[in-house]
Amino acid sequence: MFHHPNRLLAAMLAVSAGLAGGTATFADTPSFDQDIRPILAERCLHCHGGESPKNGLRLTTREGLLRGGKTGSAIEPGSLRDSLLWTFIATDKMPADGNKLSADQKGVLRRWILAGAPATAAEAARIDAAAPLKRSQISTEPGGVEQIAALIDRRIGERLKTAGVTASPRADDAEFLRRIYLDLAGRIPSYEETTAFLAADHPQKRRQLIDERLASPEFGRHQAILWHKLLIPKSAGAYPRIPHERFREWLADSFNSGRAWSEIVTDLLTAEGYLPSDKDNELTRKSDSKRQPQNVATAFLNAHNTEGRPQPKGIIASVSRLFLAQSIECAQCHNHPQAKWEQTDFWAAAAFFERVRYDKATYGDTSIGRLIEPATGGDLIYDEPAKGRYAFVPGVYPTVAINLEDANGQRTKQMIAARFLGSELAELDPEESPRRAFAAWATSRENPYFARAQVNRVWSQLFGRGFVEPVDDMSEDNRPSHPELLDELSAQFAAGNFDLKRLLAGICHSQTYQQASAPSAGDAPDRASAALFARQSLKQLTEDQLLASLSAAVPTFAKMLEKDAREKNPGLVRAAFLEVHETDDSLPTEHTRGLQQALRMMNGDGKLFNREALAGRVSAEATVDENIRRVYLQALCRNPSSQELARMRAFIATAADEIQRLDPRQLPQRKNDQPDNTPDPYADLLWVLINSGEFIFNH
Amino acid sequence: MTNSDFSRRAGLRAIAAAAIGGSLTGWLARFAARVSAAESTKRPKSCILLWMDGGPSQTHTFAVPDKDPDYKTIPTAVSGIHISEHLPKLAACLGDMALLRTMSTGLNNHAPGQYLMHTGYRASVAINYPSLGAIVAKECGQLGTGLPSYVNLGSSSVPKSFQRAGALGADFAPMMLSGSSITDIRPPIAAREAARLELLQEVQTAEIDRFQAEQLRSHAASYRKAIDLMHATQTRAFDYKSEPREIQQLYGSGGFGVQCLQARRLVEAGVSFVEVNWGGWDHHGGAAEPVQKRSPELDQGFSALITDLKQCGLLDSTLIVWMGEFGRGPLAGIGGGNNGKKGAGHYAKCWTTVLAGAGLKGGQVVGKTTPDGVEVADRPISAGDFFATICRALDIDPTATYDAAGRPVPYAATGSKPIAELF
Repeated sequence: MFHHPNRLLAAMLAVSAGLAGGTATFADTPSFDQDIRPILAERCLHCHGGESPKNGLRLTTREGLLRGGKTGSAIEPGSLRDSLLWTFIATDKMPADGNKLSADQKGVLRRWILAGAPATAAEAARIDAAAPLKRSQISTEPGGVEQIAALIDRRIGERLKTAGVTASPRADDAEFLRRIYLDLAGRIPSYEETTAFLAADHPQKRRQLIDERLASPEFGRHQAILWHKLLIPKSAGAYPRIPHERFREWLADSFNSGRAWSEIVTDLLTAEGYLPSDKDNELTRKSDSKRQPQNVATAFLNAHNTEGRPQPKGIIASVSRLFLAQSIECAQCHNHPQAKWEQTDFWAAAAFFERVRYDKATYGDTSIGRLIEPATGGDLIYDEPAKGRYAFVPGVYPTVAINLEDANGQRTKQMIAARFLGSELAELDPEESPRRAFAAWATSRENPYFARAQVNRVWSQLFGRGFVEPVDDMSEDNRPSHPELLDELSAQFAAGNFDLKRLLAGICHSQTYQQASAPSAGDAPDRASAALFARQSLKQLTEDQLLASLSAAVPTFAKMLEKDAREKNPGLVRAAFLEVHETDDSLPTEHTRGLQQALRMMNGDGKLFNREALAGRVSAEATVDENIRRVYLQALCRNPSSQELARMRAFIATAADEIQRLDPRQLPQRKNDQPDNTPDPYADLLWVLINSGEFIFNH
Repeated sequence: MTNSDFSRRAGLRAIAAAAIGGSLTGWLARFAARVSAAESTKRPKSCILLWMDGGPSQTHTFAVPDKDPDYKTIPTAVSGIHISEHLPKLAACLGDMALLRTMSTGLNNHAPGQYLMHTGYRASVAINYPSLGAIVAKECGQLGTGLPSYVNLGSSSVPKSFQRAGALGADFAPMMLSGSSITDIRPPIAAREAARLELLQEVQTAEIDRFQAEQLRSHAASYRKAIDLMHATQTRAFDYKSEPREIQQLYGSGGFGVQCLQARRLVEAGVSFVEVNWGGWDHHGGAAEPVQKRSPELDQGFSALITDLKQCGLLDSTLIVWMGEFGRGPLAGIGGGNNGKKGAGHYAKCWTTVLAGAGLKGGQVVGKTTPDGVEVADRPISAGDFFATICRALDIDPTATYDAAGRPVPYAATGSKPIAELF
């Protein structure tokens, strides 16, 4: 095969052009009358129809589904999780005769429930009409921060209006301030930062704060913590030893310097070189000087090392999940029951990483080799044509050999050649590195998945849920809550050269982001309005946010960590804290901590809540109300309400009275350099506020 | 505990109840459901997992081949069944035990095996599968004991990925007990504790009202449980030293025996699932010598647990599971990792677990291996079948599903079946 310099590019464009329509628009929304009734009639009504349907569940009408049977409603429009019917069908518990519904039938049912279970074709058509935009209608001119914000507010507002749901009022300054700090800096603001912002009085102060936080190095560090957890999961093997701290620094620098998301991802996918040591001392400097060139960005591929090399199957599973929001790893072993990916798709994409290996055998070795990608794949390139559907060109395409199951259950070895997800066979330049070709395809502006995946993830970072949930599974039948907005933001993100700061600034600047999280009075929030973004959600602080926020709010806690950092074996206290309070990242809006974390928060971290924890702000000269106010600002970054003031006044009075009556001999004797452990009612108050849900959640 | 303590606790509970008043969704509904379950006369079932971390050798414990050069076998209380000569007390209990000699689970590396045998599933990046302990806590957990439903003994202070509640949520997370006492159970500053806790619960009530958020209810509920535990008289259950001397002697003074005794005390006090951890079974240097050394402690602790539970009338409602993440190569040169000697390599193709109690038909061997123990000759038992069996023994529907990020997941993998011979 000869090659043409523009061939790769041409193939890429062809691929993405072919796909763009396919992902931006969706199959028509099914309706009960046209699509669901025939399925039910064929498969379900012999038990759930007639005079006495099983379990009292009659599936002849849409109303019958909503009314349900003995165990409650069969469907909850818009929610698979709350639709019993779906649970039974998806797990093949129903139909009870063992003849399961086909993947297509399941797909129709799933899309129907997700779309809100429309009754008639006309209703379904209205949903479709309101939904996705044509690509051509989307502006691809990069807009400014105001434009992005306006786009968001318009689209979110339209949907709220249609649904008849009222948006929450604008968050007050204090709530906004705390939220911005947690979302962009990974911690709550300090007492000083809080009082300064609340006192400032000019119309642009919110916009200024957003810009200021995005320009602060804390921004990159916070993003680095989030991405480090995703890129190097805990389940990664212990070998090679990933230099976590250095990798985080590299990520932080990349985010802080405003590098395009496409560039960062390209680096992760194409990095070559030695992994640096995780500690910086004389010994490691000496060994690192021999291991050149070094590239800490190899950490991502190195984290997929098993059996002596970074494994293509693990790499492609992560890459597609994290950067393209396609969950294809199930297809590793079998064709996916619900999504479109087949086993061959998985292995064809994995083949791009087939040549990634170390320059020497390093299994069980202590010094990992240099990560390289030789021009040919060595022993895995076969020079006979592959069996099966895919053409195979010797020496040009990287291939993987895999046992595939055919329709008769027979397993045969097949050679699968590299192919981009959802495309025909990739035309590769034989001179080109396959993973570079993959990175170029994956991070191009025309890629149908890349921008959407990241926009959805960033949105979920800021709102606690994405337009599509789960964020790593944007399959065709997993419909976005706001398809048009997702399309528009993705186009904006791509047109603006994948500038994360700009995207974040735009979202943070929107009224949608700046809504209060408490519902408007008398408006009972429900699941449906959460998906409409009618108020800001409550997001559980991650373990890192919790640690940083405690450091900001409780000086004795910060001091404990400083001491820990100076120990001979530094960081143990910190690591233990992070481990105990670890959260499940896939459930940002749920409370996942239990009894043990509550015990640790209340009783665990030593005598932190003493007079020293008040940082000298509480004084005998100030009024009780003023002192209470200062503790509120310190812990919760807001002023107390008048009811709160009254209640806390009573608490302080009683506690002070109790302390007065203590036998002085029972009081701790203070030594020179010891913390001031004198009991203090305000320290008790601080303890109470720190243990409140308001502290532990971002709201 | 004094009377005033009790009245204060009652007060705290009243406040907590007021906090949730009016809502019949969320945890109150679960509370109500479980209270009504607790009112039924039958004692809910419990489970004690004796986890032998590292993978104990079946051919040096419960599946010693005939004419084995290393170990002799001894007859047991059940004619025709023989086990290792170093387990005489267990041999006497065999009428209550079922030996599952054809476990065939496929994963012979530690981490994947530990995950599989704790959750019934292979680890996945997409789903956080709950540990068996969390499943049992959810399905069999009792309210009003003041104790957590799922306790893990002797592991670390932080649950590993396969010991967690995963998709079932924090309500069913394990209480980790690494030493012999509970940590963080006492406030560092005892003074004014009641006033502080009272204020805290008031603040939590007010914020639930203000934000109308399920998360805050769950947060307050965790605190309520923690505060209950801080004041529960039942925490005495953790103090095995208050057990009569002869009972302590029955279990022995080794770490494993003491944990078995603690497990019995916890189950008696209403804990639904206790995991006992005994590490160091990864005998790559060959299993014969080290297992012989460990056998007396295993023999005494395990047999004491069966005997004692029986005496207390608890064996019929308590399932004991003895297992590791896999077994070991029955011959030299077989199995994963360093496998130079007999019993050295990791082996998941054909290995043994033991079940006892919970009304299962004991006194039997399930499955048949080839004489050398290398292959399953009849009736392979998958991890899914094993989980389905455990579920059924505990009156849990193995096909019941929970929600994991929108995907319904059954407790035991789809298609698995309980081992019929045991019921």
